[in-house]
Amino acid sequence: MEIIINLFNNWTTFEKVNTLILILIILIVIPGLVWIFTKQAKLAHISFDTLVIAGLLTLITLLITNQFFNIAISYTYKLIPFIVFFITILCIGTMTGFYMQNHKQREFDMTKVKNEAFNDAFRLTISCILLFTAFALLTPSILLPVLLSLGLSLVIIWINYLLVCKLLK
Amino acid sequence: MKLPKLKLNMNVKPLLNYILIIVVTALFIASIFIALPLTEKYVSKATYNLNTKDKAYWSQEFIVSTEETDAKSLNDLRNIFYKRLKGFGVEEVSTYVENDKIRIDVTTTQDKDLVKELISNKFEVKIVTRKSDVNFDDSNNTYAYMLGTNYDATQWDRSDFRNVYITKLKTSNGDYANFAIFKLWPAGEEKFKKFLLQYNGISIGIDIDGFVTPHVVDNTSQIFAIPISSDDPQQLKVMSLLYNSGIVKTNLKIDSQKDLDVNVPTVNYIQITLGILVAIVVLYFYLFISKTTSSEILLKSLLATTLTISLYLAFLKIFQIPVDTFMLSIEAILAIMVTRIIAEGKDSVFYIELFLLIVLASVIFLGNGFISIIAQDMLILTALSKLCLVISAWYINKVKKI
Repeated sequence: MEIIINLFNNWTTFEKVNTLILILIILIVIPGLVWIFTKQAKLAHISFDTLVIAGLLTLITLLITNQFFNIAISYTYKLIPFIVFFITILCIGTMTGFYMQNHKQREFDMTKVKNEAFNDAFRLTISCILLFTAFALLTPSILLPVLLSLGLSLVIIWINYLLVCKLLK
Repeated sequence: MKLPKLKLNMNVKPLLNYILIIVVTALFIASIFIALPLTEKYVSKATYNLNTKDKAYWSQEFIVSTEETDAKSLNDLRNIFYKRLKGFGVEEVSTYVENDKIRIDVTTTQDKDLVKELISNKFEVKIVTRKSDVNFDDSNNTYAYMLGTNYDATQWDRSDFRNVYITKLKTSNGDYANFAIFKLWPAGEEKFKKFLLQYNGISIGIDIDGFVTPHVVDNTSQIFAIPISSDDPQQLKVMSLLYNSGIVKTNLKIDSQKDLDVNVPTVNYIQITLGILVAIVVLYFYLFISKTTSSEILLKSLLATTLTISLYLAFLKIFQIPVDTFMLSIEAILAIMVTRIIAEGKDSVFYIELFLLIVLASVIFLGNGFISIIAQDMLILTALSKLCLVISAWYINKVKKI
């Protein structure tokens, strides 16, 4: 906790305000848009939960890396939240897109969203593993941050799928 | 004698299509070759080497002391320093309050002297009038007009102006020169006009940290502008930031500055290219054998991915835009993923693009350091990937017809 307080105290008010606005945009605007497009509170709920979990997991991972493994959080590590949120946005975008394209069909039910979420999660997992591994092996100077980004991205992709299964009953 | 008529029963359209396809293919191949590493070794007529930032980074710690040391003054000053340095494009800025002083850690590729200028200047702006007892025409003191001590303060200072806009204006000679235009808050406009009316045709001055720029008041002019001697865009940017990043209320000075170790990671460009090639080959080989995607989409996606990355790298190389190599590899991974998802998911393209646009634009404006830079690059890459998908679909369609 001390590290977070120190980090927060070392930020200028300008940085704190900017970061707060950024977090609010990501956590409110994206689920808000999902709700506006789909009119499905559950899908907006899933988007919000995925984004919050992505943020918290990234923060915890960086804290563990710093505290328990004594690794300094350098500039490359600061890009991890960006990569994780980027992939989370891809998950939310594909889910919303599939719902919007198919919800007017006669035989549509939420099971189809679940099945599609599984397919998307599977495809994204394969893409992430292949791409990140290829780069991690060939660019050893950024091996650890790339592997951490991969791990976190995979966890978030499947958490998103689990949330779809749990909330879309 | 009548010449026999030569009838050419030729359809020109397919021929033009052939030529177009040949030209486009040549452009595709050219962009790939330019993007590949070591092109500069084989092409002597143009510089195609990647302009990396790796060796240009420097890192320094500045300790700044101030007259007022209460928490509010120090925090206000930290905000101003942060806005100045971020606005100038300094990659990483950290500010701390330690022992009633401000410590600023900077890691950047920007000009050292200009960065120091942004930290060391208070930039206190006041409008002043000439003291009646000072001889400004004294040949023994030709700099009398420049010294702030020779002027009387007025009620007008930087806080009365909304912002100071630097732009080129026509001078009385008909040439163009840079001027700082002082834009008033609407409430103060009438009062300022009345103030200037008293000095019509008389020289007053704008005092910046004790040095005065004279200004002859002309009431026929609609704007209040003072000339700027520099023509250097970087220097002008610094001036604009010093004018507009906030008002420093306390005197300050740099107590010390110390070099720090630069720990920005670097990645060999050849390794990155190899990484991109291996990643694309492995991913598309898997997609091909797994039969999860139709061959048509796969081909379009592969062509678009190759084009997106090679056009982006070729653009960076041709225009010599400085890049961070460690970010290039992460950008490549995300660009490959975005292109593939956009190529495959027709139904979700709009939503993915909209969400990415909102998030990336917000990060560009509100994020800091490298996160802001990578968001900017990803916005360009996402737009490029969309364009390349359209071009790829058109190209494949044309080639099929042939």
